[in-house]
Amino acid sequence: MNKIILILCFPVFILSEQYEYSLQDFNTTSPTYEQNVWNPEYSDFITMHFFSSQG
Amino acid sequence: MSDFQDELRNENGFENVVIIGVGQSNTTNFNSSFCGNSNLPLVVDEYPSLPIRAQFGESSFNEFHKKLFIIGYDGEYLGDILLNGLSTTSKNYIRNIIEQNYQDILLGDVNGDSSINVQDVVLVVNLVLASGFDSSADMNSDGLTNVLDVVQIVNLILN
Repeated sequence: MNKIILILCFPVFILSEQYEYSLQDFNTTSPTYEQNVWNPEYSDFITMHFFSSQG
Repeated sequence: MSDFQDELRNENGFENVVIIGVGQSNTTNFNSSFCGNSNLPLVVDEYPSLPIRAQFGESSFNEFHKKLFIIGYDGEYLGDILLNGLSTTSKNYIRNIIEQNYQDILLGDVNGDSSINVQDVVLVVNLVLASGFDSSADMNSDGLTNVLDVVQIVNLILN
């Protein structure tokens, strides 16, 4: 029975995957410097996350 | 990159979009070597565990270099693109995704019921007391939710 429940629930976890982090903003010239982004700041924004090997 | 964010906000009217830079080393030289002179928020994906990259689903470090992920209001994946410079094609790809998913926010309508009333005032006061933030309550667009915003919402209702 437990296996059946797990099998039924697995696709739901896959489909409902959400991204989230809350980290300090280190840019001294950013309006949210030293605050945590993307949560709580920008939590109701469309966010774009640009990855770089530098920094 | 910050110029493009300004374009999206000021020319395209997408005020509630933000580009967050995600670097991956110690913070000492973070700003100078990554997005110097930019007003974009910058966070560090701690090396070597790289938890943000792990969350976004790809383990190979090189696969992420110069990649931009677009994420919706509820943290849902909307798209991604590899940016070797911001070409018109790249910008249009991003604009189209935002346009399809963007929701205009009525300033002061904190509970999202399309009207501004005393219920919103109560929510904003609670936000202020909890030192929280909500862009729909940020009436003066100063990046904070405080008593100044409460005053402006009350004035809006009274007027």
